[in-house]
Amino acid sequence: MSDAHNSGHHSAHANMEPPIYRADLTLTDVSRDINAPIWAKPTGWWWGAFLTSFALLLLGVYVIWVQLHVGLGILGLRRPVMWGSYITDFVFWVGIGHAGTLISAILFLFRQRWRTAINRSAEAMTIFAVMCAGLFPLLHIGRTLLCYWLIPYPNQRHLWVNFKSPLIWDVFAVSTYFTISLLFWYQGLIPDLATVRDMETRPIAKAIYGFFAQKWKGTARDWLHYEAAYGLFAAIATPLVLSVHSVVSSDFAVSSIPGWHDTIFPPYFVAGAIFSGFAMVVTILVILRKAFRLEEYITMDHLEVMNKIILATSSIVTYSYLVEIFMAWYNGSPFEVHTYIWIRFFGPYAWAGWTTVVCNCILPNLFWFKKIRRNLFLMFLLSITTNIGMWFERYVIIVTSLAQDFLPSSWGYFKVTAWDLAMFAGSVGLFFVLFLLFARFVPTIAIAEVKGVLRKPVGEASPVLEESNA
Amino acid sequence: MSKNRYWTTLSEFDHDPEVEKLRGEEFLAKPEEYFQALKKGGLQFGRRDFLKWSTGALALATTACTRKPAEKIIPYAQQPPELIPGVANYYASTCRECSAGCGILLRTREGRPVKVEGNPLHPVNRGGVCARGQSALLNLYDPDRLRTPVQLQRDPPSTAPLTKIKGEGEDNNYFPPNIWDTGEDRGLRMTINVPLKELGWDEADKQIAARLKPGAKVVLLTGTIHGPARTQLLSDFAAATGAHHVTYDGLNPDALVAAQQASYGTPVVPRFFFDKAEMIVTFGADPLGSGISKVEYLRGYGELRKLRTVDGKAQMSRLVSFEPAMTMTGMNADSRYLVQPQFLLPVALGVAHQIVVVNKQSKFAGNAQVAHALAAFTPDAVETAAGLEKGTIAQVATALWKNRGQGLIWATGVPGATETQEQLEIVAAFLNAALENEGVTVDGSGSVSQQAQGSNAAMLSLVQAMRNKAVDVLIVYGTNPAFTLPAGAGFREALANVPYVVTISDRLDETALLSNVALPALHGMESWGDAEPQKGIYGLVQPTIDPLFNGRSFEDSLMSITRAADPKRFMTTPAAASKPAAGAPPAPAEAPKPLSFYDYLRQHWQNEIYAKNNVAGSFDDFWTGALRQGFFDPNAQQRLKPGSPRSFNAAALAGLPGSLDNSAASGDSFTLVLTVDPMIGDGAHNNNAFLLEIPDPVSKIDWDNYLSIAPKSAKRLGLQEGDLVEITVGDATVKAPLHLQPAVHPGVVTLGLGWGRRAAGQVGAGIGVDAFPLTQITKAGLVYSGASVQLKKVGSGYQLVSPQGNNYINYSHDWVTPEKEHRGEEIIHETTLVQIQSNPRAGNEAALERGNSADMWYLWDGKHNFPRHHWGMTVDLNSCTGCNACVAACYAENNIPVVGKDQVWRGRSMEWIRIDRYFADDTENPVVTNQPMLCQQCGNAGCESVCPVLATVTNDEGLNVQVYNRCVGTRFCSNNCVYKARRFNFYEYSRVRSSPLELALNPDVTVRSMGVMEKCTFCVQRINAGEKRAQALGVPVKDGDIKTACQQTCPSQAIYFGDMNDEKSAMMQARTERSYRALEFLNFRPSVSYLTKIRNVEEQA
Repeated sequence: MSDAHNSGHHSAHANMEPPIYRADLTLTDVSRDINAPIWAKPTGWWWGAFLTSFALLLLGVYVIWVQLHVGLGILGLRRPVMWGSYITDFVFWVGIGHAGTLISAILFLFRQRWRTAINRSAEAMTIFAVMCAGLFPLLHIGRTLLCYWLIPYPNQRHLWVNFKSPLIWDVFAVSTYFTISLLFWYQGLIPDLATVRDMETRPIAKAIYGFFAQKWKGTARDWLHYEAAYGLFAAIATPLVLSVHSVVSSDFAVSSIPGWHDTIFPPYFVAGAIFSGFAMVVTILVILRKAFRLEEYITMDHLEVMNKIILATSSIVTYSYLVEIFMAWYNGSPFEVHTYIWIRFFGPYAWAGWTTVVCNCILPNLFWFKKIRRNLFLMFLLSITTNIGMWFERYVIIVTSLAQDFLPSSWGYFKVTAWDLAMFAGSVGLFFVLFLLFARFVPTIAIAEVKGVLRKPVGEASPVLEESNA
Repeated sequence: MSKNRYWTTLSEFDHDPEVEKLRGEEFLAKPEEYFQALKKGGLQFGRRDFLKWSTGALALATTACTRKPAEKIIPYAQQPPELIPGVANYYASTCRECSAGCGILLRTREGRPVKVEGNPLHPVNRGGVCARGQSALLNLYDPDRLRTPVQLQRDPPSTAPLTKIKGEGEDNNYFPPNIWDTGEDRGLRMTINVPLKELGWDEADKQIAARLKPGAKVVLLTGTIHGPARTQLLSDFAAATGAHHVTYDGLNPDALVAAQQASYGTPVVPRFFFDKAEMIVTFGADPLGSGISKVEYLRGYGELRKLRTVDGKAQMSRLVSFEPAMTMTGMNADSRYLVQPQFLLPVALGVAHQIVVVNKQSKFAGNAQVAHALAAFTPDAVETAAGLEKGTIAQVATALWKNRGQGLIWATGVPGATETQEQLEIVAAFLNAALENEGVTVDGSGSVSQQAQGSNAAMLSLVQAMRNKAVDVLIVYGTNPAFTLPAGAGFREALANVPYVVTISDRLDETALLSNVALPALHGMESWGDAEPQKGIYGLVQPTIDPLFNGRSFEDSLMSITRAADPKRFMTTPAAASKPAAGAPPAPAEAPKPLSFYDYLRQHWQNEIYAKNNVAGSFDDFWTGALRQGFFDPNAQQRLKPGSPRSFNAAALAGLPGSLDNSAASGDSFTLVLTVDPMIGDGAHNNNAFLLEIPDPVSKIDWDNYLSIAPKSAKRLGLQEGDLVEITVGDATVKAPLHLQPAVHPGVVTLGLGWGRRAAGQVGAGIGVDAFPLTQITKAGLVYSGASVQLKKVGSGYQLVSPQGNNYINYSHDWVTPEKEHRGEEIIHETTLVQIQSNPRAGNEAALERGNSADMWYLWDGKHNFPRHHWGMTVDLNSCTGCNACVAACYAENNIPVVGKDQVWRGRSMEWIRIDRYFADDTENPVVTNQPMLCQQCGNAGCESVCPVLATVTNDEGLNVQVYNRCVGTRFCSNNCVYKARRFNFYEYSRVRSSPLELALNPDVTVRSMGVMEKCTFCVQRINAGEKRAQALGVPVKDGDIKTACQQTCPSQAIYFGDMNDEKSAMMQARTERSYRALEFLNFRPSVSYLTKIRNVEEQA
């Protein structure tokens, strides 16, 4: 970060905040430590994880191939549950994709200095999660190869899309979100890529990093433009954090099915998304800091703050559940009582409903205890249960509402098939393949930003500038 | 070397090789590069070479792809005047799927029948066609039909195993390879492989003729055959070959005929007038589901179920059922009483006792003989024994007496066919006589039914004769005794004693496999024929397509065989030689030619029907008129009235049991009741995928039969749905899956007949279990019900599938909520007759008070105006019987794919209209409401606003149209459809039709591909055709011009379709204060409205 920037805004607070990083860390240490994986030989665990993920990815490709040839019938979909695991997976991944932008954009705007250690990987996670998410709506439609019909483009047949349909809003919301997130992430990467370029000795790698570093020289002029653009992206990305999942929630809220037709959905979905996104960030960071020995940079304090956010969003989600149930009872509609209360908690899908409640409402309360908030093993476990819970929350919303709606003659019980699970596994594979490649080839922590907050900035020359000019 | 004529230089003139060479080069002076390249070893590829090569490549690229070989379509050199490509022709004919003889109109396109419609003029069915009739096309185009005469080895089929054969798509591991999945043998079709040799027709005729030596004892065994020419042919055949004719169907009304004989002295199957019966009481019978003339009954019943005003009071008929397990009739009954089959006779006698002895009513009151016969059956004693509520019999008897002269007692049915079936029929006849119904609703002396002439007794004595080697040649047609007779009858063993067996059949069925020669018969749509379903009404069958395979009609076969044996028979009579012109040599007398059945039919109609009915005009005119109409009804007025009443012979009551045997089945033994599936009947058409896929009206289960048991009894025995249970009757043991069915008597188990065919074809073979072996042979004939059985659990987990899964409104299933939520009131409105008499809004008050939904918020206000038409539908829940005819009609009209058991289990059946069946009240004897549910063509359609690509939109006639081409299959529309009327193509379902089944497709309707949503369109193709017709004629579309397929076929006329803009249309007129819309409060503004269901029950004051 630019010297002027930091000193202008942070000097007043900097003294009151505890230091984030060890005092004797030098700028060179930072560059070396963070970039170490780029030059180190991949470890056994990396290969193990990569090959496992890659195998899962291939499984997913196989599912897609079969599905396109044979038909959606391989899935558990049935009347009346015409949306099943794929849409659940879609909402799940989109939700995960929320944390990155929240951390990088909103926390940036709020000048939360601690975010520097985690924003890079959180943003990467966002991009990969949105890529996984984007797969599912494409695959779940009956004629996947005609998916471009959802885009309003001029054509000789004068066909247009239906702007009343939330699915069209989805197309715009998700694609915009993906584009902005990708650009935002890439822009933040440029100074770091320049660092790697400068440290790189292999000519081809140097050229590649150089190409992506866009002739970054670290001049004041560079930084000026950089900061302006970064702030702009952050400002654009911030409303997207709220809008994307609001739009996704409209896929359900706009319909007339009890369990879907619900005005609380937009905020409720956003809270849920942040909840699951932060849990995913914790899952990943716990592994990342261990695997790449980044404990210095991703500190326990970082993780603790994340856990606090998880606890806060868990409470919001719990409150939303209660409101849903209360409103179902209070409005007196027998259909809503049936869906919200009976099916989900006492009926055929009680197992899914209670899984959701236990994972999302009860277990996160352990984070009230500081010891647990700072216990790596427990927080890892809780982040996993949170994500399981959030997957089931979407499953409960989507499947149970459809399974028994108005006409009892049409009720039917949805079961996932092996193909459903395989496709989800495939998306997990895709996510981790991308993430592992990211961890190997891209600085996983924003070097420039860490350097910016490494020392108390008052009265010092900008360490970043020093480094860049070195 | 030729010299140029024109030249410029001498070197050119001389063809100087140096100059020639230079001329071929690009530059006279070479560029520098050229010399450099030369130095390096020569220029390999110059600019010109490049141009040459690229030109060549371009030429090759454009010529490499050959054009698709031309397939020339040859137009009609002379187009038949009646045939315009793209325009349907209708031919009147008679349905031959069963022997009821309903009139049909065959819709043909480009020379092939594509749809069966009811003939509205035909006096038997009056426009309705049942599900079986609607499915007839699948029988016509059945790939498993026998295609040519074959010689068989007469292997007993018990040794010929069912083998698996390759199904389509089997090369594809992921597609459920065979959608006719049986659940147990996934993915493979079943058939029987037997060694056979194909024969030519001449060869076959000769071979058979050789057996028809004079003196040979020939027996012709057929199913019911009626029709003047056809019966005449049978007697001509008998005269020529000395054959003895035996008629036997899968199910026969022996008891009814015998009872009529005993009661009235006439062995007839009477004609029943359901349209005159204000009060119907059935005893173990199912006239609406499996009656002899089912469509006629349904039509008559439906008429009287409509609410009408009599003397200023709302009125409708009443139906009371005494039955052991729910049949389609019982499902529709206003009052339904569960009675074990052995108590049906006592209950009937109790009713008679109440009327004659207790109430001293009817002309038999005081008749000592009658009083003696009824003495033991006091209502009290009967009620105690049968477990009926006290006062039931008195109540029914009083109502019956009140409705005397307009009631009907019916007892002809398989569920009640115990050993005392004949006595039960006698009591029914007695009650009809005592209640003055004889000669009013029962016609035994006028135009009696000929629709069921088969006789078990005759069949059993034939078996006896065969066993005694008294039959040399057996010719079988239209019946399948090897399947429908129980093993105890010994048909197979007896057949071994018959030296030569010929089967004329549409497929290699169980009987055909036991014969020496099987001749392919033609389908009714391929052949000529006639019918006389009831005396005096003559129907014609005309072919609408050339025989698909190397087949020959049964009649032609008979004639041909006879001719082969005796060349003089069935030849044309040479016309008298015309007088030769003066001087010319006399014309040689025309040699007699073989007579075809068509000639025979015409001749017979000319000589018999035309001549004897004093028809004005020429025979040709008469013939054309009769063909056009499909039938000839010389005494139409007469036939509206029954014949004169016969007098009941009280002596018939003498054979009744003198005392009441009140031994009910107790403990763990159950009374077995066999039932007839309204869809597949006796199983003759079990290869018909429509009939297997459309669920049973009562249980809603398809692709299987099952042992039904009351939930309470199952609980007591610790049995569960899907358990495999073994039951034994006599020597026969049958293993069947168990189904917990409400409305079954707790002491009864039932099993459907007609399933478990081994040799039906690839679709039907091995589906379900064969219940015919459980039929017993006693001195009373074939007995279907009343055996005492024990249930033995031998397995579990059998998957019975139903497109209507967990459909309980007031019936709580283990994991479905106990519905205390008044959900039903939003879906079904019902009331009782008494209430609606005093308040025409009864049952519908809440909806009417809520206000007209037309006043509620409308999404398209001012944008959608429907200036021309606004199509709508009204369904009368009162006359809907749930018979499934509309469902079958919709399948046939709209090219709906059959998906098979596995896919039904996965909730992917494709029906566009379904009958939602809801139980209400208790589980032991619930009441039932049937609700046909289809796309409601909503105004505020939920499906439309959520479709991202505008594939479903409201058109300017209020139809909610589905654009298949535009659909990408997001399925949001289906999710948001509260009526769940949309169906999704999860696979390429249309791909699995085997040839020639694709000929049954309606060319007016798109065949939908994988990934596309589909749904009911109110038969938009029919609407368009109707509008174009009106436009061509320059007249407006009249009400009733356009009929949807479901409406057209509905036997009970429960469906009205019309223009909501036209207040005078029949459809709008039907929307009385009873009209309501399902789930109206959601404000989807459906265009379909339902009429409150009214139950005609005695009100408890």
